[in-house]
Amino acid sequence: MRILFAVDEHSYSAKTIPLVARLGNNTWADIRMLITHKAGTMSAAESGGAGKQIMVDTSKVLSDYHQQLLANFDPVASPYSQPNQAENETFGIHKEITAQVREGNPAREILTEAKEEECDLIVIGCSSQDKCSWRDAGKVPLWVAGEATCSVLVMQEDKPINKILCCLDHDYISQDSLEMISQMVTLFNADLDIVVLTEGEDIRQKIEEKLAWLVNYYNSHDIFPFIELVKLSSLEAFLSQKTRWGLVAMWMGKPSILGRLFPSNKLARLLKANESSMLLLR
Amino acid sequence: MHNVLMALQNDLASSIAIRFICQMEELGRFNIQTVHVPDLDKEGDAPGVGFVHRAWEDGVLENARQEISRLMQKENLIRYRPMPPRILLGERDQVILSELLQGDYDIFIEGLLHSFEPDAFLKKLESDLYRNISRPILMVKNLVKLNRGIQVVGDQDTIFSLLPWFFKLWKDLDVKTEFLTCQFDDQSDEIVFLENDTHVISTIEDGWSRSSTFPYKVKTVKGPEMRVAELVRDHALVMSMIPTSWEKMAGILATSPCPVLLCPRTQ
Repeated sequence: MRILFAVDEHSYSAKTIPLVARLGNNTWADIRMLITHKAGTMSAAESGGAGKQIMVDTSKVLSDYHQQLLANFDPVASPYSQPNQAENETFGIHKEITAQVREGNPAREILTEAKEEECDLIVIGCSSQDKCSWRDAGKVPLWVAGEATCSVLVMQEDKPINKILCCLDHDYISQDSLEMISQMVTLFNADLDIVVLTEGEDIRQKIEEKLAWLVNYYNSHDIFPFIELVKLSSLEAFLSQKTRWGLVAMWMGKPSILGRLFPSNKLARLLKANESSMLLLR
Repeated sequence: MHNVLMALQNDLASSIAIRFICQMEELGRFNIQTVHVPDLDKEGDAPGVGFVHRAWEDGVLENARQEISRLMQKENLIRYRPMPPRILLGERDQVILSELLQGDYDIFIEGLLHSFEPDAFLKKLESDLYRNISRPILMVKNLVKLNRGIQVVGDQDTIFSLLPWFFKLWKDLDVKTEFLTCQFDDQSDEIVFLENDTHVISTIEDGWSRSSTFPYKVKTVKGPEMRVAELVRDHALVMSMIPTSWEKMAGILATSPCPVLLCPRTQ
């Protein structure tokens, strides 16, 4: 698994570091941190003090975040510990935490990096005060969430996650998405609500078969979710109960009903209106 | 030891109900009698009359018996040695009511998958079974771990009527219990808590004096229905009097994903 952790210099990015560390500890994923700066801007160090438009020292921010992230792992036992070259220590599993600076439009660079690095998950923090945006770059999290081809976790700053809502599509439930939800439940020690979309009585039996499988899956992981059936026509009303969940997870893959219901423009609206963090599974 | 009548269908709601009751079995013994009323409409048109018709009915009964036995086996209910399932023909509500009258049952259990839309729950409240039952009904909507505790919920008129049922059914249950008295006020957007309302506490105390454990929490809440409903969501079991479908309590219980124990007005 490869995680792309997209950051800027603001507090919501810094506050997402412990979460990424816990994700790393649970999944042993390769983690790539990415910071971007707009073309024509560069750090004080890079410009030698004479840059065209000096914003922040992105390299320093990234280096600080990198250190903070590494500090979360056991320096000896963790797969992220550096192998001892002197002793030619090559046994065990070694995973990477790398850092990258890119120049250009932040959303576009994040999407390009995720594609080039074949990432499975993009993690991005955002300001809950500014309707899920980045303070100096606007709707970057919304763009990334809407346009990425992999899963995206958008973390709202200072929103505790005690309850997770998982919107599953009865037509297609992938093992990967279930495991990702399990990870989140474990990670946040949260309760899980599973909502299943229903379209009519005729497909009820088909849904029940899937649900039975799902209940067995989670029960076997010692997770006891609340199951709730919701008619497609009531979905927006249901999701508007925004204070109920700290994290809303939705399966947005191509064959998904949710993918059809929430194309990227509608999804952005949903993310802006919702006060919860969002996990979009693809 | 309580005598339980459990209605089963071959569906997920019944599977969840069985798992929930198996969980409760670890805390107190039940004598479980299962019952199933086949839906003859699903079997197609009944053929002929006399012998031919009876043979068809026998076939339906036998198929249903096998189906329910398989479900009980699959969900491991058989480890609690329930009686063999009773497969009865007729109008479901009337058949179950009559079975409850004939047997010495303390509680009736059935499963219902929880829906955001309250229709299915309210339809149950309006059914002959729920309107005429004289035993508490445990409606299992989800499988919830018992360590989430029991919530006894009612308004000022009903909360105290639940005490006798509570003591009768769960006196020895070692699970934390919360009492929530609701005062509905739709004029306000906010909810106000009256922690440890002395009137409620003193009345509950009287009933509790015979029991060793005191409720974990006693709360009174005043506010609009929707906000109060948010407080009735995170328990292993919510206990209430059976409301009529137009009461605010019905709306609250319909939106709760927890298993609900609905008690009749009189014992």
